[in-house]
Amino acid sequence: MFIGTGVDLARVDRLARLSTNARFLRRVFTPAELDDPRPSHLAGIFAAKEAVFKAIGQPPCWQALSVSRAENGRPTVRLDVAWRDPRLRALDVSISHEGEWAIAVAIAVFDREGDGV
Amino acid sequence: MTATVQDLILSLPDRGDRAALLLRTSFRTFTWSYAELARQVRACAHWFASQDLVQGERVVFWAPNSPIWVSAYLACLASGLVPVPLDLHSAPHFVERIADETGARVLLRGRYQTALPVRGQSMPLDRLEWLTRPGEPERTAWPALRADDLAELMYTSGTTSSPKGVMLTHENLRANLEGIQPIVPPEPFYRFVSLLPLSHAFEQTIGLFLPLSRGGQITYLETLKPSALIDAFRKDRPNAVVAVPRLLDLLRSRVLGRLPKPLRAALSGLSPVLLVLPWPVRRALFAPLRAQLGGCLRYVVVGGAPLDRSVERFWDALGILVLQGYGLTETAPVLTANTPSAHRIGSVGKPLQNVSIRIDPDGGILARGPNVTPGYYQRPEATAAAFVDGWLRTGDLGQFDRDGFLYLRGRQKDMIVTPAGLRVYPEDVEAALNRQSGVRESAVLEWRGQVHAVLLLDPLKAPSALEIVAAANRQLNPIQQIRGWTLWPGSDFPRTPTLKVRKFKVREALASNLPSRAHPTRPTGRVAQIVQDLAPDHMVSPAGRLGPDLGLSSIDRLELITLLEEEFHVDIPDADVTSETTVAGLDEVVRRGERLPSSRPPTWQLNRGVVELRDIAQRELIFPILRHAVWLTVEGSENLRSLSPPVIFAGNHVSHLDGPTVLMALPPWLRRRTAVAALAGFYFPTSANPLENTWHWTLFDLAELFFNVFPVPRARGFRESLRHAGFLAEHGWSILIFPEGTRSVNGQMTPFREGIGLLATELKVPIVPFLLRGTHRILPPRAWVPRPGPASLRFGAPLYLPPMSYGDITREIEKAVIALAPTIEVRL
Repeated sequence: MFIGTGVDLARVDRLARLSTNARFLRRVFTPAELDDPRPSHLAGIFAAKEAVFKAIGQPPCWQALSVSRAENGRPTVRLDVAWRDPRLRALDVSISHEGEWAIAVAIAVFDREGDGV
Repeated sequence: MTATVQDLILSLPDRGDRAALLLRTSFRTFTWSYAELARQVRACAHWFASQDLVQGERVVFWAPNSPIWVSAYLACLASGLVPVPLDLHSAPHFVERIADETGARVLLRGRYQTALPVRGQSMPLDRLEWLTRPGEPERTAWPALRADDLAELMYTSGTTSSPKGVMLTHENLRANLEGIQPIVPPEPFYRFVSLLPLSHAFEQTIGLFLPLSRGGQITYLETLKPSALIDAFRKDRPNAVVAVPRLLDLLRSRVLGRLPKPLRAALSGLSPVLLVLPWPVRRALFAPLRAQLGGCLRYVVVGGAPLDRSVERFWDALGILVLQGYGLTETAPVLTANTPSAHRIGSVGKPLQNVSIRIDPDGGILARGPNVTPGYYQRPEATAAAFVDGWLRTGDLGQFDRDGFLYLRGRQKDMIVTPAGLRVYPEDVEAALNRQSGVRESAVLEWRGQVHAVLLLDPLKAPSALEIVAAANRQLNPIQQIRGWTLWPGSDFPRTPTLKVRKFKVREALASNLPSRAHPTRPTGRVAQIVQDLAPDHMVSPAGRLGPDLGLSSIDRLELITLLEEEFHVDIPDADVTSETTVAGLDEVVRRGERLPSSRPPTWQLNRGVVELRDIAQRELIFPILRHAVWLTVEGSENLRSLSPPVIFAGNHVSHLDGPTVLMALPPWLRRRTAVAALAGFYFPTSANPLENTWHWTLFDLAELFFNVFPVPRARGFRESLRHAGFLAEHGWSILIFPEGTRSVNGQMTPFREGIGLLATELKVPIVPFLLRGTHRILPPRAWVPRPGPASLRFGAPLYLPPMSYGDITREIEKAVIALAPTIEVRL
């Protein structure tokens, strides 16, 4: 087993400015993620996605990764099977907000060897 | 007197099954016949009525073009509701303000437009589409509308000055449609590809009402990137399009870019000479070039902004008639137009027969006619200022030639129109500039296809122009970004008697002596300029790397990608732009983006002969053998009887025998047109042993032949196979898929992959769940010889799911499969 970590910081006002750019929104967020359009929420999701891509060491494919909130407020991530390293066993992410910033940390757990998802 | 718009809408069903609207998404093409469009219009009208909307109430539209947009819009017009269509790029606070001002209780929005608080509902259009699907109630009685009833409200001004809503009545719309009918040449079948937003009066009248009134066909595209555009041109072979000048310019460079260099030079230099050749000769000469645009294109209707004569000549030389017209939102919208029989390069044509145009002593164009607006919504003072003795002041200057052709000589309302037809209002950009300290005043106009600022600075207080522009750009949205600037040399701008800046005088000055004053430190290439806008504090050079040298963060790079895509109409994969990419490297990325995707999965296995052969092989050879091994009982077949393909069969996966077993259980009429999705990992393992690879390829070819299998790769090319699935659905093929993505080892079910949710959502087809038991005992994983035994297969009722997230849809499908066997052991 080995572990990858990733961290990312995103500015809320940056997302606020980009929230009029439909092309950007459409590229980065899934429709469900856009149901809550507050820039702080989007900044959190953006940071979470970026952190996950760092943790799994893959170039970003924004639409393949979706972040949602469980009822207790804890974020959960799903990575499309097509983009998943077969050795990936578990993925977890945590998001925090403070003023103009959102931060996220992600951890990915891999098998040393794997034979399919 | 020709029919009203309401008559036109209510007569749509008369054209029956003829194709009216096409929607091309990245996955498949959807077709709306005239009958289906009419049904959806009635269903939408019923939905509006069910929301207690009464005649005259406003409905805000904030969504990209699509058939459901059209249905909802036509439903509003036919029921006397007042649509308020807004530009897609409107900022959310602007949309909120308009919803507030118009008192709208319903806001119809696109999937990617944010939900906004309105007094009533903020409804995504794809949900409305689901609510108004076949079988839902329809409106049957329609109100009688008066000619002077308000038909729609169109907002034309920018977001910072107080927005003005142009009121258009039903008579305005009818009159303009009547006015253009005589000049539109009769074609047996009009095919349009829609390139402009439906929030433009121009696109509504010429791109929608006109084709519908002629029984034509209109294609809407989910994206206007060139690969999608050229694909649509090739497949739908439009004979007419409505465009803005900059799009024509862009298409010209694209068409030219594909030619060998000498030919390109000859063509761009020689077009005036070519114009001497008769039209049929030119058409024949340039047939190959026109083939890139589908080969049938005859008319390009242009308006909305000044058109460069060289662009007009180029298209004319190719044998494609550019018909320039002139009009305003206030005139619903056409005032004058060139026609195939009467057109002059550089002119905007003659007035429509029901329109009067007069030039006032100052050269201003005045217009009168039944298509002219009664005024601005709740703005009596603006309305009063817009009219003089019953004539509308257009704000443009012009003159007639001896034969009655109108030539524009400068526009007061210097709106900037992007290639996609989006509008940039100079007053918004000026407001952002004028807020900066040291700026006395600014004049923003389009210069060489870009947003350009002319600045009048206070020499004592002003920081550098670079800083001012960078600061203003930070407050502006991507399409409003200032790309170039000039310092105004005099002490004040030239002004009208009412002290407004005379933009056309500023423009003349720019053209004559000012360009040398344009800022010298700005990089020259467009790509570099866009990078510079994002990195205002850095010096952009070709070798500069985006991250280390220019300080662009990952989010900056994403914005950069979207800006490049917007500017060059290309498709850029995220992975192509990393922090190590150089500015010069970006040029290459953009060029690569302009190439079209070439690969397309083979379709021989869908060929009629192959289908027959497969059918015989299955019935005579495969199923008889299979029946020996799998003693199958099938339940729920009654759920298959009323299906109308295409559908997706989705269920659990326990053995290699599953695909053939489910096919065997399907009735022949369904089976013959069903394809099986297979994870490519099985057929194409990357083995070092060439023999093993050959074996797997052979297996795959056999699977293609006998079971119509198509691969779904695990990693790269995933979207490609989704497109193939879309192609199948578009042609009526059903798809059998095992969404677990892999066979479970012990017959238990593992969670479904979200690909199934994506497939169901994007292909918009019903899902038939099924549950298979027993085959894993007959042929367990890694076994090659089956041990005969009993198995059972149960089909559930088809699911028609409302729009949800891919994940939620996946869960719903999973639940439906689990529900088929309450006793199945589930490990989630």
